[in-house]
Amino acid sequence: MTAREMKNLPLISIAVPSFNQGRFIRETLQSLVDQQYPNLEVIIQDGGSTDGAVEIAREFAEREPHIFKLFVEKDTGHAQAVNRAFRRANGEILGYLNTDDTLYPGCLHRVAQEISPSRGRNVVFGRCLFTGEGSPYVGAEHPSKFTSHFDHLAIWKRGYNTIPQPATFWHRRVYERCGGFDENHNHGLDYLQWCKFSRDFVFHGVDELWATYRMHSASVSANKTEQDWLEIMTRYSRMHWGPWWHPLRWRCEISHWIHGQHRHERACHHARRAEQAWDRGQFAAAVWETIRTGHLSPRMAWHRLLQPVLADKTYSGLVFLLFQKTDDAASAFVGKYNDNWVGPVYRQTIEVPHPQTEIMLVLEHVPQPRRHHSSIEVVLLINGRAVAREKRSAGGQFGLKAIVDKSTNSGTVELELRTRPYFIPRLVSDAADDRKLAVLLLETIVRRYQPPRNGLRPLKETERAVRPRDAKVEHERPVRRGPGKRS
Amino acid sequence: MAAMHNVLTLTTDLPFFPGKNGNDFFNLRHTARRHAVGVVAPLHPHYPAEGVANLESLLCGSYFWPRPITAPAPLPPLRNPPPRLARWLKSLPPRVRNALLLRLLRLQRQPAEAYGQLTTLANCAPYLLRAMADRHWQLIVLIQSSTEPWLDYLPSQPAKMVYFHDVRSDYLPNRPGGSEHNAADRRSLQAIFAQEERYCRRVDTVGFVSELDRQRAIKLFQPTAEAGVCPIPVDTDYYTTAPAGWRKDGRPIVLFTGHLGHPPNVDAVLYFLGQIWPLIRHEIPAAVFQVAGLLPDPELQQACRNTPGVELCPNVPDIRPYFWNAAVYVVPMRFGGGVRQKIFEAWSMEVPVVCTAMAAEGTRAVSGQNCWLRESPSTFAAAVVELLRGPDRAVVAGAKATVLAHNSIPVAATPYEELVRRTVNVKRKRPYKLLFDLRWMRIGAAGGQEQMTHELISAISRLDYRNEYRMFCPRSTYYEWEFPRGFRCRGCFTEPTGAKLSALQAGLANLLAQTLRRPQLLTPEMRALRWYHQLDFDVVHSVCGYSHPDLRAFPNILTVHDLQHVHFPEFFSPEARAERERLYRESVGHATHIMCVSEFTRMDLHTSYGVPLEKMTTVWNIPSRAAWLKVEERQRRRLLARMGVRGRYLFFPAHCWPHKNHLRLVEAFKLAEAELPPDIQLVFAGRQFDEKHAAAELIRAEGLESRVVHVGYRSPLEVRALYGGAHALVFPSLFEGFGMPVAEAIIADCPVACSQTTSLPEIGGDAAMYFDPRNAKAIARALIEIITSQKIRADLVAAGRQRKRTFSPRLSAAKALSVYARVFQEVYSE
Repeated sequence: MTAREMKNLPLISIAVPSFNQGRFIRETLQSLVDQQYPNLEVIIQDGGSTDGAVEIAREFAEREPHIFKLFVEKDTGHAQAVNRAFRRANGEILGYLNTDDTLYPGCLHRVAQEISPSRGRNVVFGRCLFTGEGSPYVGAEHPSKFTSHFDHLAIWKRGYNTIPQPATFWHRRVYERCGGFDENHNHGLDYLQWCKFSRDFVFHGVDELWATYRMHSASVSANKTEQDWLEIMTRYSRMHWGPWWHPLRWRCEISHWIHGQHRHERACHHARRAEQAWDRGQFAAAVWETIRTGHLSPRMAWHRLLQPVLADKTYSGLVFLLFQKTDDAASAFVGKYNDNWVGPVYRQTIEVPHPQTEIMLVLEHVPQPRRHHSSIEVVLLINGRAVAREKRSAGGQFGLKAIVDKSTNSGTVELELRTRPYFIPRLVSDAADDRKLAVLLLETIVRRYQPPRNGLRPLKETERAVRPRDAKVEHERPVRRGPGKRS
Repeated sequence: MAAMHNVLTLTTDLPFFPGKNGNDFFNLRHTARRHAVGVVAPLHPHYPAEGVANLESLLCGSYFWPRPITAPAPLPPLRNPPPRLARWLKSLPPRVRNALLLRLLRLQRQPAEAYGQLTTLANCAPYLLRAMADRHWQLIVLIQSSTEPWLDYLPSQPAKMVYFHDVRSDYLPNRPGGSEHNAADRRSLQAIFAQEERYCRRVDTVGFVSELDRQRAIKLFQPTAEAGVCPIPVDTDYYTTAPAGWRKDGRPIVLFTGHLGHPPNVDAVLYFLGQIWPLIRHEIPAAVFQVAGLLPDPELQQACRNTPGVELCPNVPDIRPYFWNAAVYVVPMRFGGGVRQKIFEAWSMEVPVVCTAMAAEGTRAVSGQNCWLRESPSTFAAAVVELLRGPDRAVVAGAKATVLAHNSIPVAATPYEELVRRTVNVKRKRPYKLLFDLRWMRIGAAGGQEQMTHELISAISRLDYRNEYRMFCPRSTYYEWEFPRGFRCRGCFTEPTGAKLSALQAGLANLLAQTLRRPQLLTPEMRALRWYHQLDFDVVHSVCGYSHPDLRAFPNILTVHDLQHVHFPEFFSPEARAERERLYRESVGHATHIMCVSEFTRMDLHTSYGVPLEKMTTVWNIPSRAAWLKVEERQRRRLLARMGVRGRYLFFPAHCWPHKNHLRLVEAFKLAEAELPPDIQLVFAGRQFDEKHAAAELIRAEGLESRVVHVGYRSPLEVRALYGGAHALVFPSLFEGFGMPVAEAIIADCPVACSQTTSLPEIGGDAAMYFDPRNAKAIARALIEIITSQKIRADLVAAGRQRKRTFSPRLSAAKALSVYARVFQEVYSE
């Protein structure tokens, strides 16, 4: 850097309020020396430290008298110390650094470049790294983001102040316009000051690491829980909402009130109930809870409740349009599993021993949890013709019966049983079973057809199914209720 | 110590040597000295075995697709061939089908050869996946600009660098005889331009072969990626003058070499034969023109046959003898991109070079110093004739000096290696993208881990506005969070609908390709690659104690909660224990870094599994945000009354798992009963235990039903009320990874008496009283003390007030963020 450029650099004044932080002050002051910024003024305002901080500060002031100016005065707190220091400052650019934070080498040069009132940049802030006592948090950063005055005031939305104090610098005219720090408040005074600044000026963010911020048990900010902090900051924020007739006041009031309603939590609650109701098949309840969710958070109702259903329907619609609806019957297993379950399609070739043969299938419907398989429809086809049909919604045994003629069927018939819907045990209950199961086929009875004794009416070939109570089901084997293992 | 990165090179053109001019080979060889280099590329059968072996010897992993490119791997047929759909598709005109196919593959704006490029990638995809499983690659180097469609299938984690051998959109429009009016031609040029422009925006750095190319590219594309220059290296020890004893062919030979299918080369030879060669033959009738190179174009073959004095030498294994025999080397090119490496080879072998100014672009050629630059056919022929009559030694020596100074391997390959490093540095300075693997996290199904994860991510969302986060979780879980504006996150949902739709799309694309007799691109491997690309992450954080195998190929952070199965195997069934052991060991072994929920778990992992301590960081679990909210006195009383809790009570919230030690607590309560005030109750909360539970039996046997109350599973608000009203929390658990009830009690200003084992002393600190949980008498003593001594309780509450703030969500989130940042930095560090 040439001498001329150095001469043109603006004077930067950094206030260092100090009180009993002898452990860290050396690092802080050294980081200011390491800036190598030629036109720098540091005003150390000590509130009468007793732990050696004053001695360390004096040592620096003697070593670098052109940078450091030390003042030791009793003060009422942090804010008063900073104010006194600013009153003594002559710099064009101002900033303050607490005695436990540091600046990155060379950052002031960038600050001098970035602050230019002619371009509307009066307040600039960079990024800031958290450090702990033994520096355990290298890598985690203080949030640094500024969108608008309102967003800064609406602290309840984020919970934290998003302007990193050690990495923020402002032009003298900002100080002149907004004044010093409020000496009645000593906690979180940076947030309070930013509220003042942001009313009149836009903060300009620079994507560069400028400072470190120490989180440790002795720091001022550690004595309060986050809940306390939020309350304090909301109080500060309230001080800048303006008079009752101001639109900003109303905006803040409304936003704060809405936040206090916990709409999101309540929407989550109703969405959860809607999902449960939907799974249980309680459609009315599901619709009602969906409406309540939508009332609290339309976004959640759409993304969480409506969109998945619609996407599912779109998918099945596409599949319906594009693919044949045979449900891959050709490739699927069409026999009976060892545990008596049959899939959506079951086929069997049966010999017809008698001239008039009655074929009866003894079936059992086992409803599954979660509405997937609560009611079924079973169709019995003989040689491709539907001869019997049954809908069941309650569990239990039932039968399907058909009567065939030997003469017309040349000795054998193709029997097919179609059931829908089917279920897959893995999806219904977490059983390790991927079969498509539809209904239990307990027995196939083939016997000579005997017309009813009192039956005057000749039976048609198709005969409606026998009700389970009427049917004399001759089964001895115990029936397993759930899906078992395929052998 | 120099930088050490894992560099994976992806190319369509295997950079073997010898057998090819090998500039990429030398770059790789130079890079492989300091870095681990792997190559994914197709391996054609006509490649020389020696060259390929030579390449493989310097790689840390060679992932070559070993079958000829003409026969792509057969795809597994669609599981459920839909004949109606196929028939219907076949009835569409092929143009429509093709357009549909390109749209499904998102290739509609790409040049025509993009499909072929993707076919190559589809063939190499299994090898690429294998490479990714073998190690964490910091960098993927892509060679040539035509590989742009691959970016849609590459995971975001490795930094990307592309090396442009030439800038096609710069030279292709200048092609002589190129039909400017041809619409198809113009469209393809536009597509190439768009492709290269896109490429310069989507990668981290771009390398060019010469400063000239770089300037042109910057002017054309305004790349956002950093642009560097990596000159072409030439092996000056391989391309030397003829060895001693070489019997030179006596004829006056003029030589041209190059890839004879490359359009600029074809044009150059045809131009030379048509316009320059007759002039030379006219002066020296004995002159011979040799054309040597790979895969000659049919038109060129025809021209060579029909012109007298021309010898075509296709696909020669070693190019050097031709140079040794030649008297003059000509490069009569009229258009073309990049830099002509053959000029460097000729210079290195000390053959005089006559070339056009265009051909000499980017080579530091100066006419009269190291070559002869001639433009018109007549001057070109004159220079050749002059050199055939008698060579000019000074210029040849000048040429050798130029090539040694600027293009020898140590000089020219160094910028390439530097660009490799720069690429990784660029990536490291970017904000990271972190993927939370939360596919286990179904609302209300995962208990404490679910709550802890919810709080961690909520706290991060309030702290970090710079880095990006992805949540791979069920849809409803994602919408449980309320993120502040400015938090950069995205949900990737585990619901099957999205996967089904993408499977449908892939099936349709494959079916269309089948009907068009084109290779079916969307193989399962390609879809896996596409999935990784869409998740778009750099680092994975598995929060549930184990990592999923499909994400272990990437840098991953693992949260471990406890190793209970190691200490209390009797609380698990043998299968469950074996499964836990296997899963934990595998996950811990694959993790880049481990976050432990407490210092105790960290030490436990160190002693039980031998994980080095520096690989682990302790990040405490975050108590629920609701725990900090006070329950008002009136509301509390009402809630307690509704639960049937009256008077003073000791509180123990825990499910009835054996390690929670209910039995011993009831025993202790029985022992202490006589000394306790008669109104003191013991209140259990959590899942009800069944009739046969030992504690339940003991309560019945001792007749304690009136004094031991179980209130069952309660809502968070009711639990808070229970904490608020409790006389003290008793927590006699035998094993804890963290011990959230202790933290919640401290937050609620409730005195704590808990076990002195495992993590509990770490959580309770000086704000709790400790006892031996195996000893009922000790528990009884502690119960009596904490109930009767007002002072102890006051002290504990005072200590708790100080201790509370160490459970701040902000502290834990900052620690977690620093772990993320550190792992990200380490992955791309030197």
